[in-house]
Amino acid sequence: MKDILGSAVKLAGVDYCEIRFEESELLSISYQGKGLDRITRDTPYGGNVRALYKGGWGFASFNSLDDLKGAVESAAKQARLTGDRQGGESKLAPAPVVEDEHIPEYTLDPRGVSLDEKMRILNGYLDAILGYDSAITAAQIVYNERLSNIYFANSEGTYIKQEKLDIGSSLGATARRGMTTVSKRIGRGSSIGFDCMLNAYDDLREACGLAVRLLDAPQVKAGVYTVVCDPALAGLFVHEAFGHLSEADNAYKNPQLAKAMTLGRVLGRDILTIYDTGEYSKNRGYLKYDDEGVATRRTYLVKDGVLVGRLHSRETAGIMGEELTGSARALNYTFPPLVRMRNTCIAPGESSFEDMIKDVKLGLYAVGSGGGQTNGEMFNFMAGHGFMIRDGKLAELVKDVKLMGNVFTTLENIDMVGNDLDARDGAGGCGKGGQMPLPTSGLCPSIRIQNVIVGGGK
Amino acid sequence: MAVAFKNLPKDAQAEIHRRTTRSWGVRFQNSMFEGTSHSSHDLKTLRLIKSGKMSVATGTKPGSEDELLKSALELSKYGTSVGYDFPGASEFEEIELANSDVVEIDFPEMIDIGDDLLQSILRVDKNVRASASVGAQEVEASLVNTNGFSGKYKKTVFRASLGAQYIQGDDFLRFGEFKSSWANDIDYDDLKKEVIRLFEWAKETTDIKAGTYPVIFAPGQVGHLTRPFIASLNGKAVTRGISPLEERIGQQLLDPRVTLIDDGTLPREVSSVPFDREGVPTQMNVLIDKGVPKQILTDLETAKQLGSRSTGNGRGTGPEPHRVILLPGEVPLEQLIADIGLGVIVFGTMGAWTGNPFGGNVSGTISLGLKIVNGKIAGRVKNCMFSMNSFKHFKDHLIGFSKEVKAAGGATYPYVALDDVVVTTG
Repeated sequence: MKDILGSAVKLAGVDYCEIRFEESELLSISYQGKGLDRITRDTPYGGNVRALYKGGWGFASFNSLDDLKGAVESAAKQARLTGDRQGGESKLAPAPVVEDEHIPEYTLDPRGVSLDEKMRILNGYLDAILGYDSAITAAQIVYNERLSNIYFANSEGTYIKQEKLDIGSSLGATARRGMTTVSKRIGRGSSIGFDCMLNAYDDLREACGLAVRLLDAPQVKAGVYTVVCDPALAGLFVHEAFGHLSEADNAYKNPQLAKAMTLGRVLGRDILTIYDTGEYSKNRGYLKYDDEGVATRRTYLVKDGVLVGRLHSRETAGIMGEELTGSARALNYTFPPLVRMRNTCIAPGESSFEDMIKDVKLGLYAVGSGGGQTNGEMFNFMAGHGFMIRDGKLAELVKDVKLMGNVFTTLENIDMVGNDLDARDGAGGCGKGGQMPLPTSGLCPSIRIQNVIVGGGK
Repeated sequence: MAVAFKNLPKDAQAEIHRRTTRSWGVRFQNSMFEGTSHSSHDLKTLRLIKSGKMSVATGTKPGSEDELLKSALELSKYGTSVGYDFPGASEFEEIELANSDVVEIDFPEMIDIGDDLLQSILRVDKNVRASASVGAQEVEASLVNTNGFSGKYKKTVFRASLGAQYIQGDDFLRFGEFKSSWANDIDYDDLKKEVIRLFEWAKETTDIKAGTYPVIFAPGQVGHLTRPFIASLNGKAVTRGISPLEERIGQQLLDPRVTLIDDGTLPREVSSVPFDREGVPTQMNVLIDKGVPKQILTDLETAKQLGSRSTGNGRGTGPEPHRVILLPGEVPLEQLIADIGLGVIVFGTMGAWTGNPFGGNVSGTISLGLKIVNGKIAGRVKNCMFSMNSFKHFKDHLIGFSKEVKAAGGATYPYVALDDVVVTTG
């Protein structure tokens, strides 16, 4: 493969060219209702060529290595068309030339676990969900296991072969009574081992119990509250509310946004430190090299409340004159890389959970993550459920908890950071530019935010 | 592909679906031309039923049919129990879905279209960061099974989008629209007009107090409101025991003005197909007729479980609608706006897709909403969220539907005006 890609990449005759080729095997098992819904084995196979000429990019994807030469010519032709029209200059931040083969250190290689055993474990979870209570009418279990070999070569001489594992799973229960239906789920995920799927019974029973209790819980009353987010929701918050804004492909050719995100700007109190990293191999955002062949590194975005960094591709780092971070990622071979997060983290603080709620007269403890979205300035995310906080104590359970806010105001309004660091993983992933779901994770403590808008009933 | 069938065990039946896609397009970002792309994709999916159990294998590797069969056979002992056979040879009506002009569109032509779109918004205000994209797709799909079904079709899709970002300090305004067609016949002037009108309406900000208001949802947002109906009338939700409408079929559930249709048979529509992913001819399905839930969307498996016939909505992973159509009203949008004393019209939301659809609650951040005061647009509202319940609001709080409709993606919706929508503000 090294010779095939290495030779082809030299044919482009442009400022820069890279080839990424992927051979993957994906096992998907899903249960819906009371039994197995689908078992599938996918074998994605293909590659792409990206070419850069006078600042203009061309991209071509293909399925057969027989079409590689044609794809190189197509990408190069497109790049010339774009570059000649732009009349610009190709600016890529210099990256070390690397020759490497990376295989993760597995804790439990899923290839060593038989399909019989995987089914036995999942069937056990199915039985636990359906047998929990008569109000549980359906189970939803998703198990996705993707093993990939990614080959990367560029015209500068880099050649990398990476083996990647991505396990993402969710185990959920639906409770129903008449027109009222409630679902609760737990997530599991890893980049190094099937062991993430073991011993989920305690968490699962808790989720089932909550699903049944939520049938009788009221919808949260709409209003503005002091909100304590648990680590899972804090992970979703930092991803949606801030992580996307720190992706430099939003700002590198947009001076107005770049100004709003000037390094050195004070965004929050000195208790707030946020970073994004390819470290933490137990989580789904683990990455040694990004899809431009750049080694990932821990990137501080906010340190002690001050904006200190952003996530980069080689182009955004080159144009903005900043350091590489190894954040160019593509969902698969059919897409070019975009600037994306990996594991996005809030550094733990010193507050205990009791400290965070003790002086809250009327507030909300929001638990679990159910998806979110941002447009840069505003964000919206959904919690799994919540508990009202009344006079410093946890009170009644509430459902349909959605939070929103202005990114900048909300960061300023984080007034406490917990000491209870925890990771968030699951079956889903991040979406951007039509590339979804890309595996990402969060590793965060609980956080307390003042004046959060909560949607809900009257 | 028949190679795989030759090696099939005698007690098995199989189906091979092949989808070959060629996509190409240009994109403009930050008010400048950014680049082009060209993708080719050849996906084969083999579904196998052996001893009453279904397994699936997919792949993109050329000449991998035997590997797909091997994978499916390995999985088959664990597979899903199914109570149906793949359909035999059947008659399906050809639908006009491919336009040869689309295949001829090249990068220079796309760049000219995109540049013209981009300049239209920059002429209004050079300070916006404009974006545009133009893309084309050519699809060939075929389905063949061991029981005698064989069918194929071609489709073309052409898309154009225009939008912009307008940032002043920490105030971010994003707006945009897109159009798609089976042919190169997109009305670019209409696209420009819509986007420029949105910008002019939204440029100035205003505020609104928390409360309940009449709210008009633009067609691009109506899918969030109909999601509880579509999810609840899906055969899979019904057979899994999670649909709240399971026992409400035939009962008056919503306002009689609500009629919701799914139709995969419409010619020259990007979401139409002559037969579904399982080889069942598509048809028009009236999901809700004058407020009464009528039809559950099914595929072969859910139809068998419900004792009915497949409605032609099989996608291989469960039933899905083709084109959802909410029948419009007779009032122009202008009149819907004019009739509101104090309210909001919503063109953009965030997070409205999250949450459990079966409970009917829909809420989200209003990312692009305009305040209506005495029947006139009075500027953009910020920092607000809406909450409503589709089952309740389409029953008791429906003001009306506009006569104008907009087709986007797999749906055609009018503007929907609802009363008593909770708006929360910071």
